[in-house]
Amino acid sequence: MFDTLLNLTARGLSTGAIYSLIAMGIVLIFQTTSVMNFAQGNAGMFITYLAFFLLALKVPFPLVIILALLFGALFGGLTERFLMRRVRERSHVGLLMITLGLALIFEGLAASIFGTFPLNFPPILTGPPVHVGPIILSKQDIIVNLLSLALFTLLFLVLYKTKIGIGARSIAEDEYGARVLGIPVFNIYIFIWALGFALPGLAGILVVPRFSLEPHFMVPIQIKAFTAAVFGGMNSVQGAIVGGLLLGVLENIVAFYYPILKESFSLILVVIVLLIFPTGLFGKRSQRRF
Amino acid sequence: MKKTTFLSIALIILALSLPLPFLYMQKPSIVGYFNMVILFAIGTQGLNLLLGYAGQVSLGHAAFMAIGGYISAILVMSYNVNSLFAIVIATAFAGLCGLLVGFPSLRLSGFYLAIATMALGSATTDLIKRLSITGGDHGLRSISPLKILNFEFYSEFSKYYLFLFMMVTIFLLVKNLINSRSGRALRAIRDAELTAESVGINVAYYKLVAFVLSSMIAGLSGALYAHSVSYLHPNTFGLGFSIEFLAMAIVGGLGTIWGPLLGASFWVLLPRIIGPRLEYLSTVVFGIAVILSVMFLPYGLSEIIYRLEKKMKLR
Amino acid sequence: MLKIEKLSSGYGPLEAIHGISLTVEKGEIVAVLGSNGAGKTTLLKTISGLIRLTKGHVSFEGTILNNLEPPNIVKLGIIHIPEGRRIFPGLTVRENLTLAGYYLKKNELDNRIKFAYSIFPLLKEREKQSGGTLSGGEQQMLALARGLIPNPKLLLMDEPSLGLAPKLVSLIYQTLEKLKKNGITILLVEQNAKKALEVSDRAYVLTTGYLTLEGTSRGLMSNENVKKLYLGR
Repeated sequence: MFDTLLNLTARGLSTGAIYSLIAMGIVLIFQTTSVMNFAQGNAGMFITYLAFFLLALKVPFPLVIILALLFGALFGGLTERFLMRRVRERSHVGLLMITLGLALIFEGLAASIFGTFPLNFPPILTGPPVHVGPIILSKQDIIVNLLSLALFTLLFLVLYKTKIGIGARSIAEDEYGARVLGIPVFNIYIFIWALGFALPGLAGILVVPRFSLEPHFMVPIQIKAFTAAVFGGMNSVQGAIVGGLLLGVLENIVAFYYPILKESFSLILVVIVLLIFPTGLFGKRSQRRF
Repeated sequence: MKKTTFLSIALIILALSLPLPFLYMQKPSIVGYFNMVILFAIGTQGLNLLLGYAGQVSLGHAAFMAIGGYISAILVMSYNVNSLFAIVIATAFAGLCGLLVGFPSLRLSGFYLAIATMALGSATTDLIKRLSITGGDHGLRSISPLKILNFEFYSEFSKYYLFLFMMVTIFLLVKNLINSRSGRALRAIRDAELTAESVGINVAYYKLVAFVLSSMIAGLSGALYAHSVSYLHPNTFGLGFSIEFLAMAIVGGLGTIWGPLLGASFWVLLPRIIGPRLEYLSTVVFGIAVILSVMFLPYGLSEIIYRLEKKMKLR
Repeated sequence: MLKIEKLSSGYGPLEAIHGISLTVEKGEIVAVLGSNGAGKTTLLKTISGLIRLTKGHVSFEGTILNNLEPPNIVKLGIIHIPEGRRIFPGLTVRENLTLAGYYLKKNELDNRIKFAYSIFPLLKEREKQSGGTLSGGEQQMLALARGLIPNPKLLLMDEPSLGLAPKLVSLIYQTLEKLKKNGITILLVEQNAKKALEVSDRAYVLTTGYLTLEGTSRGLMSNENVKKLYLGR
């Protein structure tokens, strides 16, 4: 019993880490630019396709990951610079729709360029699972956990120790105040959007071996990532990480004992959380329209 | 839009669309596409009412269509209910579900509502996948066609006229609603919720009304869809389709009565025009159209038509 | 040092200030007086690049500022301390100061922070506290300290006395005089005309977006109109 729970938790953590990676991007973008980005999942999907073809060209895996992060950063940066910046004054819902349009573009591009036939994406590491005490984990799960941990740490260092990170946090608190201080808010927006698209790209590569690579494979993951972000309060990166990990673990345990609730569980959870904190934890009522 | 313009546009569309099937006597599949246009136009009108007129965003609209479709199909197939009656029940049930979703909407605004509806929509399709009466992951096959008295709406042509009639009726009802006192209340809520509240509009009541009506319309289009296509699968009605609904509403023109028809035509016919080889490019085009609409044309394609009309009048 | 010629500016189609000309010379404290809505804040926002001017010129030590973004204007040495202080409540005192020195090198920044702490020793004690936990007076000190971090040539100060107890107001104004002695030029916007005229060398009076009076502060203090309208005597 205890061993089962331990194993479920361990495996849930590696799922949760994936949710956390994307949820972090969602929260970062939401907090600094007030955009609820629904394009992240499909951007991640598109980057995973690019990674697939790089791998097919025999590019080594570590380099593929770095290139994928760069691709994501590039997409994110371009999106901010040439799209989101021009529509900053639109209503929140209008901005949300723009990201939906972006999601459609990524989906259509992937389907046109790469086709819709499901592809098998290899895990980073294969081989027999590893026994750690009573816990049995696949090598891929271990890599996912280690990489995520490294990224979480890196991101914290950036957000708390570098000017650009502290600047991003200041924008989240008071954008006008940041502008008055002469903080280069536009560069920081580009940086945040770059991060926000690079993270789901990596998440896509890490998670895709569990499914198969096709244009819709990130949709359920994105829904979970939103759940994780809301779960964590939508307003802090720590919250997003904890929310994602908790969601991954809970989901894994619930799915083991009540398979019928596998998918719905987290969805119902998010609605309940939203009802208790109707506008998140910082309650601003928006009067803007589209 | 004045009443006369609505009527004249309605008449023009009717005049153009009534003989349309005869042009394609030899190709019922093309009439089939028109039927899809009409069904999606009805469904999108529901979302238009909710988002375009009442300002409430929903990322779970396809789920109401699924509810309508499944309820009606199951009633007809497993309980032998008359299909007309089944559609009525399905529509009502979808409305009830809309009421249930409407309650959280009273406390949520903007994108929190988007997330909540996205979650509820996905939970619905997931539930359908796990139940046995719905055929689970295999979907429901060979749903019987609609039957009124003893006439079976089996051919694409017969369905075309039925759906056309349904669409015009729904559009007229929505048109009348938004021109009524309730319609003004809805628009007031969309434009400035706090102000609406302060002048004594019962915001909660009207939001619920919008949710119920919009999901009823979606449910109706789903039920018609089920009996028309005769096959239902939960994956059809996932988040992707909800997003496409939103896209149709936006591209057609939010808060315009004919927008849903324009948006649905664009969505259904564009891939056919582009051709099967580049079919998925139409998704890209559609995504771009959504972005351009939000950026430059708040009334989408309707705005283009409106502007053309204005230019013609100036000449 | 700062030269403004026939400046018009505002928000979108709404023009809030109309054809204002003023100058600030090096080492001066210049006050801009006016009641609420007179356009004082708009003036400062326009100088610091937060809003675009519609007509006229702003130049600083010969550089035209008209189309510069706030970061570039900060790099020139013009620092805007906004109304309501606008410190970041969730960031620590140290982080608030760090951001003020966004364009400084690491060791230069450390030196400037040390310098700010020498003027406001209290902030040193609160270094690791978040800005939101400071009292109103401490927050104003932090805002002033932030203004000093980038080694400014010109400080634009918007209502530094707003919402502070009289004792603290005096303290803030003593600090301004200290800054002046250190060679910092100050353009001060105030509703509290009495204090502003006491500390400043020259002053301008803004009324509904137009410049209506200008002169030495001493002279304006004895001006009948100013007395009646702004000094409440």
